[in-house]
Amino acid sequence: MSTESYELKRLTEDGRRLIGDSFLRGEDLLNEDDLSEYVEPLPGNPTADLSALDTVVGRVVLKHSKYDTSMDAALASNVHQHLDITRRVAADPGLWHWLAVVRHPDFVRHRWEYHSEEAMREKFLGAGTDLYSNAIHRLWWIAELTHENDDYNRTDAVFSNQTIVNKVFDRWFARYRPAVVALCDELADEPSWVIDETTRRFNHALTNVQLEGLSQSDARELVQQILSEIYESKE
Amino acid sequence: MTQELSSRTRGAQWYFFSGGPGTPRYGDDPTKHAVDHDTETFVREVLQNSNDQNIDGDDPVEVTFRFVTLSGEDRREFLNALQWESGLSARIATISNYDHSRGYQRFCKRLEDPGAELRLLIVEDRNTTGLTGEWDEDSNFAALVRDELYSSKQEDTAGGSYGLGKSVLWTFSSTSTVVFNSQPVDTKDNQQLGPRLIGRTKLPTHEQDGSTYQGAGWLCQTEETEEGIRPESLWGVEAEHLAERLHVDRPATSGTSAMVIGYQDPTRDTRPKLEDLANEFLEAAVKYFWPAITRGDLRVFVETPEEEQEADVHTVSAIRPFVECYEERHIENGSLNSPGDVAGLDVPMKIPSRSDDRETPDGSVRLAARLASPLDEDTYLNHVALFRGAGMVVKYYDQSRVAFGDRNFFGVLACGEARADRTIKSDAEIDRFLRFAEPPEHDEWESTENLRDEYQRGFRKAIDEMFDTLRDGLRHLVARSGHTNNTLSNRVLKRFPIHGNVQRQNRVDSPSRVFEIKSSSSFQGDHWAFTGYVSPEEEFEKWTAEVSLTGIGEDGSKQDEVPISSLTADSEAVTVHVDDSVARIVADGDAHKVKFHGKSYEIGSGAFFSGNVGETQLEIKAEMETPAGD
Repeated sequence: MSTESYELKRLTEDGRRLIGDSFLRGEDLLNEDDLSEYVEPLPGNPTADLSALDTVVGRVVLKHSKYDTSMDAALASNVHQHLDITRRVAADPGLWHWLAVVRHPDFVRHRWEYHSEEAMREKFLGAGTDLYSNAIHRLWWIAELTHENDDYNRTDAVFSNQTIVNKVFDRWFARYRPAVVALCDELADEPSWVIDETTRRFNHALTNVQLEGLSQSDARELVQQILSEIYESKE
Repeated sequence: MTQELSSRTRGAQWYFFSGGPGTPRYGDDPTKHAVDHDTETFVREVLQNSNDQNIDGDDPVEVTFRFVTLSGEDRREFLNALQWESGLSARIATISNYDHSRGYQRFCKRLEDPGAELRLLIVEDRNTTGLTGEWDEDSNFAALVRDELYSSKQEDTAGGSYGLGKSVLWTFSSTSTVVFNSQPVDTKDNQQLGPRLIGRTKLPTHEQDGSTYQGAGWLCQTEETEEGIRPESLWGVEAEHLAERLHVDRPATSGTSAMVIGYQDPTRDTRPKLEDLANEFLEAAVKYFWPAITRGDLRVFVETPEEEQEADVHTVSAIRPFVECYEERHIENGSLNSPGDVAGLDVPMKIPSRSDDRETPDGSVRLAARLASPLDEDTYLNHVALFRGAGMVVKYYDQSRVAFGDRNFFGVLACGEARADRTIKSDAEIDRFLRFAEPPEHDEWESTENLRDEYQRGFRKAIDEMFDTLRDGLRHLVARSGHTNNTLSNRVLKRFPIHGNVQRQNRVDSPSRVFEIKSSSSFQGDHWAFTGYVSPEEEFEKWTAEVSLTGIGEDGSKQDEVPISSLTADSEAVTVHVDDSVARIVADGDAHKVKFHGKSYEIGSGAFFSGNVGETQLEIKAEMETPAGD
């Protein structure tokens, strides 16, 4: 695959303040020129194949109806591959604000229905430690935590099960890859109520053990033990 | 001891005490070695001295660091006014021949070069008390001009308390010589009109014309008294005239100008450019005094022949995050979701009684943290700025161990009179306590001799507990998740009783204390057991307390309720019901203090990895019906 490099940018704090409810609703559109004053380079001037990203985002928007959750699975691996950046760069919220507000606002509105200003603001201006917030940030980070080199099968499986996305990646422990991998693998075929109960219990059990002290097999064992308890107590 | 002069003199001249055989000898001023000698220390110590001498009132203390360079005729005029040839030159030439006096040698050599510049630094403070008092009193004047290692500070909250800070003035002078021109604050006790001028040198012990001199000398007029000759300031017009010739003249506002002759940083071999020095001074002023500057208590200026600049807390990028954190420190229940978010909480502090048995009130200090952004300069990332009412940062306390993942932060611990805009009694006491907890360098809060002298046993524990609680509080603030319930861990609950596993509540949501509630819980093999008491502190007709147990997640989020199976109370004036796994105590009449104990249903023996047993919060919500019906 040939790639073209474009410099990545970030939206400044002042730029964030321009984003009002009418923009979030899609009534007031801001173009790149409106925002150019509030966009700046990232430290280290990282680059990415933004042209390829534009193409794939455009295609996904075209092919899916509004608010279709399957857009996530269709896009996540592409977002991750075309934004070939370090975690340090990805930790800059301004990057994701720029991608959502300046580059792909149409995708954000196409994927997420406006329910409240707060919820929509999160889709455009979330990010940072909250993996589940910004519409593009969540795709990249979940792919980052679930892929194995070029293999995105786990990423695709996760996005095809919105209960896992919601229950695993909206929790604090989702920042720790061994826990994420263990939960995603073990819960892939479980019904929603089991996913719900397992992640809740896993979160509670982590008050007894140190999350970062768990190896992937420890985490897997813990999830399996919780699963067997859940099925035993049901019988 | 004999004196060199035996008659009263008018006009300024250098005067040195001479000692007979066996007089102690000083290789150099001992106080010079008590503190570090870099530019940052100089600025910090000098500003602390000025800041401590503030006058009660609305005007901030103002300090100007003014660099003056003299050459050619100007230099010659200056040295004449300083009585260099008649008073100092020969002594310094003698001293420069000693082994340990290379600094004096260098200075003498420089003076031999007619083209060489002489660098002066004048530290001019305004809206301060100035040099009040007389030679033979316990006064500002005597502390600065006469004594060594002696402090005469304004009040309990002053920054310094050892008298060491002033020594930097002489340490940074190539000739160990400083000239003071001061306008003392107007008081009814003033007998003379300002300004007053006096010079002070701190040379090593030396021989001159067959006599041994200790090294302490004054540019002064002398006065013979019953106790012998003593150096006196020049006053009024005479002082003004000499000050002008010495480039140390000042406005009539009260305060002191201290001129460091031959300014040089003793830790440097090279002479930095004035422009670079000015920037270093501005940065050091902001680094250590941004709380005082932010509160409008202090303004700092640096003046070179080219320009005048004011220290601005927003221009030093390494410090800006702390300033923003302090400005928003009162945000309660804030969440650190996005970079720049600030959240704070009160850290309780208990200090022991004073040595004279005076009780001290319990109080708190304010901790706040600001979530770091990748845009922030990271020089002090994950550090907490510790300071009290004097507005000087005692230390940037490294708390990197508290940070995790990308949850980096900048913290402030605002103590004593810096805690809030309005000072209460406990703030003043905490300020006093922490002042005595500072060692001579004022860069730590620790157990000190001063604390031992001023407070009863328990002072060490009070400091240790404050730091322990600071760490726990910081962990809590930094770990807090944006959209989960703000539940504190049990460890934090113990330390922050106001948020604790008890909730005091009445129907009108008054902040007043209505109930005293204490409780504890523990896991007993296969169930939770808990005990505690509820004690109303106001007149009542009836009260109820609802007791529940809730499991919490690693991120502090509330999980399912842990069902309570039973609860018993020790009073006959109450009834107890356990409904829907929650226990309710309903009290009528005389149920003033009700003790209770209870337990949960069995939730699994040793099931620590089943997700059934984990950190659990005991909640007690109490409501009261008062006679007035509110």
